[in-house]
Amino acid sequence: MSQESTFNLRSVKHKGEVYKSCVLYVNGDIKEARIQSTQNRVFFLNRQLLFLNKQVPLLTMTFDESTNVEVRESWLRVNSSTLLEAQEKGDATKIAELISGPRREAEWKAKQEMLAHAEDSMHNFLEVREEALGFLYKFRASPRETMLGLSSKFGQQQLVDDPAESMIRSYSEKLAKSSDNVNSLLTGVETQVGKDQANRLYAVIYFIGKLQDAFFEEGDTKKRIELLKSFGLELGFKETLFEEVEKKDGGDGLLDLFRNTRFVDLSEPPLP
Amino acid sequence: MSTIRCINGHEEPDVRELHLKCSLCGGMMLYKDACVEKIENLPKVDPVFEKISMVFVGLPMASSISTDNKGVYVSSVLAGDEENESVQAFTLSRTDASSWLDFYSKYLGKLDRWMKFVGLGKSHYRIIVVDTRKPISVLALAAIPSSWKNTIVIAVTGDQTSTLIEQNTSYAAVGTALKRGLPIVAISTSFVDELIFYTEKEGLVVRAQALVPILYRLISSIDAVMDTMGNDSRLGVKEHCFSAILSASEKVYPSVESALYAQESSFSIIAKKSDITTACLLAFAPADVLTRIDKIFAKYRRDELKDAIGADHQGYPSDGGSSSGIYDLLMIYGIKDGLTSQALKSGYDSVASKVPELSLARVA
Repeated sequence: MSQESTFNLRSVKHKGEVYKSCVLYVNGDIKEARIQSTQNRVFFLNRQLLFLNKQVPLLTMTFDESTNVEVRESWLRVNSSTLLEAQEKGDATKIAELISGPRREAEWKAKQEMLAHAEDSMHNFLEVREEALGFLYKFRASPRETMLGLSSKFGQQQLVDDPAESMIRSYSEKLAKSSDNVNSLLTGVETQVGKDQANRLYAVIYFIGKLQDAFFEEGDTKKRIELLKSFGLELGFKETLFEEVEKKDGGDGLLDLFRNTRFVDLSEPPLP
Repeated sequence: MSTIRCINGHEEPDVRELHLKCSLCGGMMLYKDACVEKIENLPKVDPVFEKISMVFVGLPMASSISTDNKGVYVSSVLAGDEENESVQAFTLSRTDASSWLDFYSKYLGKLDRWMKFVGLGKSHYRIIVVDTRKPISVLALAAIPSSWKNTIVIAVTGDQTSTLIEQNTSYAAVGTALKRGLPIVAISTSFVDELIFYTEKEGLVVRAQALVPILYRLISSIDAVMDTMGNDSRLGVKEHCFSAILSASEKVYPSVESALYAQESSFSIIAKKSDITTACLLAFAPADVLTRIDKIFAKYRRDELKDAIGADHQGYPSDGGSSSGIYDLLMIYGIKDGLTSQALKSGYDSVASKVPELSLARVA
């Protein structure tokens, strides 16, 4: 049995005609809205004056993600073509919520997808960075071994004057490209989802980047991780993550600890 | 950590602390700029490469040098049963190569690549110690990129005691080095065969192994050696030889002066005094002996090196000041063009006339 909400309307303007005293039935399950016009008829029967209220179907419309509803006070404009006047402002808001549900849900899904896409690009960026830092770490520790180890990465016929420089340049280019992608997606997040969420994602990149640096930089890694811990918790990462981080004796595979973590989640639920 | 500001421009008082909200106004902390500055750019890494790279080509002394010289990267180029490469050595397979041209044709690209991938070019100085009689020598010298300045070749050269094919190979190797503008210090095979030194550090060493203490002296005076080679190059002097007296003392030589005169009797290749164009004395001695050498060298230069374009000397105080007064003298001489190859020319021509492929012209 589908749930149907009923609203009395003061008037409906449709295709240039104005209808007074209408009833709106909104069925959220089948995404359908019906408007019936109440016709008052007066006639004589056996010399008696009779009033008859008869409901006549006026308009049936299905609403979907393309349905646009604008609300002003007790007035609603649906897809620019139909103007409804509710009994009161509260009704207008309820009707708008019901009719614009699919659109809001679609928008919510699009935002979630955008965030997921942005997070994927962040993972990709941080992965490139992890690989690059891993290379630089080895290069700093044993440069000649690391350089000779690169031999297989270049074609036998490829002329390479300075393999390490070529590799660093290649990583920098990959990182820049990946970073452009992140920035472009986060600009979209900023516009479509909100500044707070975009900034939060930048904060996550900064946090994980600094964790990577903590393993790369010379000195007290543990102390550097400890300094980052409160920020990580503020960002919503769990205490257990830090236990895992502290167990690691190198930066390799650090990003795996974040593999199944959503960095930001929209709290706004879709419509009921 | 970089400075991060909030939306209202406040900085976090403690730069080590990171927050999502500003502790002063509660506004959003902005991380985008910090990401661009600190995370998107890779940190700069300056790995430490040894100041000197030393490559032994066809000579087995690499392990003697590498044990206690932290500032020297030592590697070898060798011919072996199968091809192999590591940071310490590049081994070429001699299975299907015998002449220097075979190795040159087959391995030039690979060896050039190996030299770059082990970072020979990253050291400030390079010393290539090569037995030019070995067929891999031409290849090794041809593979050294011409952009690598500060590179010298210590070349064990063939002589009349060598076979004709060794003379041909040696001539081609020396010619290749000179064609590539690499200064060489030549040591003839006969000189090496007769080498015998007793040193405090290395004990009694003979033949090729006796080159090791000489190489140690070159390493410890590398700046002066490279300066000499650079200056000589500018004068057009590319060929050199040397003479050495190691572990000299008053028991062996009555005076420093007599040792200085004695050393000139043992040039590392056949040369006359009139062949000398430049000279550089490297003296490794206790401070008091160095003072005497300073004085005596001025006289020696006036008397014995008056026809040389330039003659200089450099003193290196002995480690810990040897109480026994033992000292080493190493004199590097710039010599006339073509002197190194002179003894090899007839042997080279003899082979090249019968096997025209084995001609220096084949080396690009």
